[in-house]
Amino acid sequence: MRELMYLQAINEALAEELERDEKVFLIGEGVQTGTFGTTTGLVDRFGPERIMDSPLSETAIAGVAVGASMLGYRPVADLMFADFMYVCADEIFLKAAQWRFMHGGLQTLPCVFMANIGAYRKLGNEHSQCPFSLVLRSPGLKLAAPSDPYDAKGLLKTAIRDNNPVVYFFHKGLLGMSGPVPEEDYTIPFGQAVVRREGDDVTVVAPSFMGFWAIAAAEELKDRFSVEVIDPRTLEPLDLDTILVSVRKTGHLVILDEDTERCGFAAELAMQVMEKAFDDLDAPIKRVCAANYPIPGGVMEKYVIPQPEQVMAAIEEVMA
Amino acid sequence: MATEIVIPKLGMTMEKAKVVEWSAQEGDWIEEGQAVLVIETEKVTHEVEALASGFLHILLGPGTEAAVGEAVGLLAESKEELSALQAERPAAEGAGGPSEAAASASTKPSPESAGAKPGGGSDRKIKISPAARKIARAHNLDIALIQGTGPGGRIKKEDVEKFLEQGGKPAATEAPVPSEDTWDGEVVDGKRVKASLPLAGIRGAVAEHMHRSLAVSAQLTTMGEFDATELVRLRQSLVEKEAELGVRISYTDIMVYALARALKKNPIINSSIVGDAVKLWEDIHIGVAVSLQWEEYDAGLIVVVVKHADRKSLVEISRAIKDLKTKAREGRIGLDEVTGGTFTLSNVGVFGQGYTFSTPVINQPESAILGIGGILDRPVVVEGEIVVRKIMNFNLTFDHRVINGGPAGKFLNDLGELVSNPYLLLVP
Repeated sequence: MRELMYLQAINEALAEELERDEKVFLIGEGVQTGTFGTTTGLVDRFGPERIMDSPLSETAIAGVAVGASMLGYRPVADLMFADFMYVCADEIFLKAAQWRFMHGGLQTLPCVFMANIGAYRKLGNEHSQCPFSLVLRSPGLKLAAPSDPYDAKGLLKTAIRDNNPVVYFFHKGLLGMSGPVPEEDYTIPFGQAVVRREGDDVTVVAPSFMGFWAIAAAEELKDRFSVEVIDPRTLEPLDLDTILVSVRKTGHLVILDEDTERCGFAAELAMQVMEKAFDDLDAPIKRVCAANYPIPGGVMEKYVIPQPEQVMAAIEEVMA
Repeated sequence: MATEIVIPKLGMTMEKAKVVEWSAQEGDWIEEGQAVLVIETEKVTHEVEALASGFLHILLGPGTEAAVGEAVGLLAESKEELSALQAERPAAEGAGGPSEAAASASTKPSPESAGAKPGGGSDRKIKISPAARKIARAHNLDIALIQGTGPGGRIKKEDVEKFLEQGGKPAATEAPVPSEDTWDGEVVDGKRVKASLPLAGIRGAVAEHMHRSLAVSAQLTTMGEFDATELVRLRQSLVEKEAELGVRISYTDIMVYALARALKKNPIINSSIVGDAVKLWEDIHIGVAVSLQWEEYDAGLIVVVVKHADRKSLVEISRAIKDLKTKAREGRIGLDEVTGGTFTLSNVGVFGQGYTFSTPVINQPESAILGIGGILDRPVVVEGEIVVRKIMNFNLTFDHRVINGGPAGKFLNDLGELVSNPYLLLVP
């Protein structure tokens, strides 16, 4: 199978959906140029009316997406950095997320909020966030977080075809990653986790870029523990069943989450596992997350965001 | 100024306490809040903490008793003050350290008291993971026998599996069998104490009453069987009429009714010794022993009294007993409803232990008590044939100071006639 880079897979998914459905359009700051290569070249094929450069206003971008989706369009709002979602929080978390409920289900809002997430690039606090919990605690939003080119394309196509607002987080640390991507049309259903590596001793749930650390730790520790690594792929809807099956087998769980620890995805998942599989746990659940602290710029960031050594230490601790 | 270490008042009724052990020696520096002394009161031990810092001067040694509020030690602010206090009043015997009296005290001091660490006892809860506990429960294992290898000694799934592989029995060398060394509860005469029930309340009253009854009277028990075949039939027909009667008639109800009639014909049984005379009572007040709810280890016992049982109809007796039982079990029974009896009935048939005999103890100042057991199918000889009849056994304890064998036998004959032929109850 041919290989594509993660950013190319995103670009191809957008192109195919723009081609397939004329109601699909893209709006964002510099999308015609494409800051990360994810939208580069699309304007040549689909024109500036469907690949719209916006003013420097996230509120405007998100507002257009919400309004257009209510009128039957399928906008993809490129917010560039997920950190900027705070600027248009009202449009995303209250309007897009909740208006379908507020209108008794009669009004659909088929829009996608696309943004990059993550640190490890020394870009400082406002270009390094991974705000999973911000999205997860807003009822009405779906959340996809692909960790390889295949998922990046398949999940984005599902997101664009969904009749509900979807937040699509791609990780800046994965943009150059290459992997097999089929040429034929395919989508990946939401709510289906994937077991990235099979194991018997300990389950590690690792969304997005955290899968990298998980696989690396599993490899490093392979002579001592058999580590199973699960990528949830979408955090909402969450495929809890796959995680529970694994936890029932291993009895040990480590959750990796690049987001800030407090009230985060890891906390939520740990609670759900405790509620459903308490009697299967052989040790307290351990999580590895970003510290409850802003992300410092430069080399200092490593003291806040999760590190591979912490992942290994967590696995050793639950296996003690 | 020296600060006093006094016996604290730990309960409403507490008046004094015994010094069990000093956790520090004469002259030691004591920090405020440090546990310095173990005292014992009514089987309860308590650590006393220093209310100030200072050099310890012990006034009362282990084994001595002191009143609430009494100073048993002093805390001097300086060495000089300590010397002055020691000169004024020498340190108590055994103040140099834990004495023999302390070692033989009924309560083994907890490690905390020896280590002078303030606060609660050690954590005796066994750490075990949910997954390990699930397996242990499924195999009905005693987790106290399983050696935990996880952090802090937590028992892991692997530990339980290993334990099962070894036949579910602890390996002789590693299994921590609870011993006196690890027991941090009470030890009395070398035996470990599971629980301590205060000899107070109902337990105290029963203890005092039973012992006194046996001490002051000459009790003798006659045992035998009544043929209750007809009684069972009568009771069944009454139970069938429960809706019309408005009450479910029990064997106890019928027996109280029959006893009242039998006692009326045998006044000597319904009597008490008062001063230097035997008083035969005109009033017939029949006590009924009632077992109260089970607590963790014990069930209370109380005797409720059906006044003028001879003047009451069966339904009135039944209602009265049910009402008194309810009141007793809800703890709102009055003193006049549990006193004044002239005879007592104790039906142990309700406990369902089958064909047993016992020697009931007289409820003073009465002269007799009747115990009856459950009604069982027993082989008996009737007109030369062995047949199965409904048999109720009886145990009549009577005070031989008052009642001789003759009157007791007559009373039992009269009662037995009523039980075996309850239609006679229609004839007053």
